[in-house]
Amino acid sequence: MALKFILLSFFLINSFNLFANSEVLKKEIENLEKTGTDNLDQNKIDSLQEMISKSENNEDQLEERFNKLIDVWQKKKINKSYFATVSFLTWTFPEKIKDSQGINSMNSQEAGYCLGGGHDWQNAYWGYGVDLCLGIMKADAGIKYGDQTYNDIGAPVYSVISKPNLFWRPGDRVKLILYVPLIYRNALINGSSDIEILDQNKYFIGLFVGADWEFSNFFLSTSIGKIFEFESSSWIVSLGYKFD
Amino acid sequence: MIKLILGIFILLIQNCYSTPNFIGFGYNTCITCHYNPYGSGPLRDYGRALSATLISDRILYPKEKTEEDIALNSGFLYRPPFNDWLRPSLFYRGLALKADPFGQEKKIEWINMQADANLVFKFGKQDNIYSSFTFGYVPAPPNIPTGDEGKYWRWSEYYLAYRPVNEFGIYLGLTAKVFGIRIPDHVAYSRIATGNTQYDQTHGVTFHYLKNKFEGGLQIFDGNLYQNEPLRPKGVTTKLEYAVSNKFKPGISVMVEKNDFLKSYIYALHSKNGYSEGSASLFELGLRQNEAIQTSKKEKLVYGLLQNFLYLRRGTFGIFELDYLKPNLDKNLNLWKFDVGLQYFIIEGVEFRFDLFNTKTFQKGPPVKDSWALLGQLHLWP
Repeated sequence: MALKFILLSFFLINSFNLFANSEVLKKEIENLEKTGTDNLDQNKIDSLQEMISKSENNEDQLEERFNKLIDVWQKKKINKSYFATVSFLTWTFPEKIKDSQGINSMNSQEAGYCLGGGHDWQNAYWGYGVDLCLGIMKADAGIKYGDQTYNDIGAPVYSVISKPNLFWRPGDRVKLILYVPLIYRNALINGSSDIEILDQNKYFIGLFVGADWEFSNFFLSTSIGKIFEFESSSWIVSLGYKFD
Repeated sequence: MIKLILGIFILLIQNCYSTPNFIGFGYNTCITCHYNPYGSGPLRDYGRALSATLISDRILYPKEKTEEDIALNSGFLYRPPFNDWLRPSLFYRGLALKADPFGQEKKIEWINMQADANLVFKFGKQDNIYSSFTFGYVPAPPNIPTGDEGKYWRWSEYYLAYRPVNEFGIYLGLTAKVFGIRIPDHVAYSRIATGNTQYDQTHGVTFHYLKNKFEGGLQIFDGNLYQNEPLRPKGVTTKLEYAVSNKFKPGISVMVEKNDFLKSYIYALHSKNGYSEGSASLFELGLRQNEAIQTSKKEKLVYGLLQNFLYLRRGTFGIFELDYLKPNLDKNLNLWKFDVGLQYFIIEGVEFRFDLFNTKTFQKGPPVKDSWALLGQLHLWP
């Protein structure tokens, strides 16, 4: 008799606990649906999932509703990643020179490579990032004086480029990106007895638009923009590898 | 300079409708949507329906109109097909060109690039025999003497097609050459370097094979018979592709052609890649070797294409394109072109496209000033 009483009590208490748990779970899910998933974290997800596994309430489709909430949370969740890049870049710089006519401008067309890496933070919809690369370029600089031409072909140009950026992800493997590149340029263009090259070391800022296409851990990036004080446009095309 | 740029655009922008970037939606073969297995020209009923329901925006339709209704009414003039054996089409492309958009010149040129009418006649069971005829207007190049404009009403395509089995077809007539990735932009160096521009259709016979993941084509061509015999390039070309997945399809192309003055060997590698839903990148790298018949002098050129599409929303694509041309491997001249564009299909049969082209010339010596062109295009195929 005593054993029957104990078992019945245990059953009643357990049933009451399950009912209470289901009610708590239902309220929690309704609350998340109303207020959003901003305060959700992994611990809370684990505890709610445990409650769902024990719950016998199938009428309110709590599991399906909770899975939808997890999906929303995962899409909003910010993920971090590191990446390495090798880039081709080109620009035209109006080199300031001093010649027999005074202060003049000589265009220097520069192209080369930039090696570096960066870090980004992104969810399924948008993100932001920053990178840093060291550039080694060759300059073809020249100016015409009537029939005569002054050239320095293949002069070395070194640069340090950082590109803070903000991006929109229209798909899970693509990005549309706005960059604000910061550039330090150090050129070693030779002058002549008649031409003195001025300001070969200087900082610049620019504005670029570009896009990324991701395949597996690799990504391809193309961008075009304006570096203020430079001539015309500048391009950067990169191949990158993202570390998981 | 402005006249030169204008001339180049008039010469090279093409009446092409093939859109290989739709590999981004998993469609990696042209024959799914086009009568011509290598794209361009009229769309099949299925291609029109796909264009209406997948590619184009539905902003002009009421909300209650279903995708099925839109697909059903995606035929000629937005009606269902009126019989089983005839498919008419009209094509128009107009171009607004602003050369040097950041310069002092304010003039904007409007050019009617193309106005074509097409008829496809279908015979046999499951459309396994059909013929396509496209006649229309293309603009005269700017250096053509007055009075010669009439000749620019022309046949741009006609052929008879026979597909005895689904996997294999034979096409006899006037078509574009089978080579590389047939992108709509014939200002791309990949089209100029391979002789696949607006005026480069050729008479010949094309064999097309498509089974499982493999697609191959062989075309034996006799040149365009409307062209003078000595100038007419004749030869053979082939293109082989393998779909590693429905969104990754690499391939190779080889062409040999010859006229009375020049013999050319052209080789290319290409790859079509799809990303997410609708985004794609198209890559092609090619080498052309020309040999002058009289002097045996040989020259080689190299070209490259990287055309990236970003699917922004239904009907809207961003374009980032990089073109490369080294016209002569023995000379230090390199041309690079960057295109940033936006393409909008407001409804099936109406496309707006805007492109900003920036071309850089690299050569030994004082830098050459960049050139710029801003283009707006209206493309209609109701």
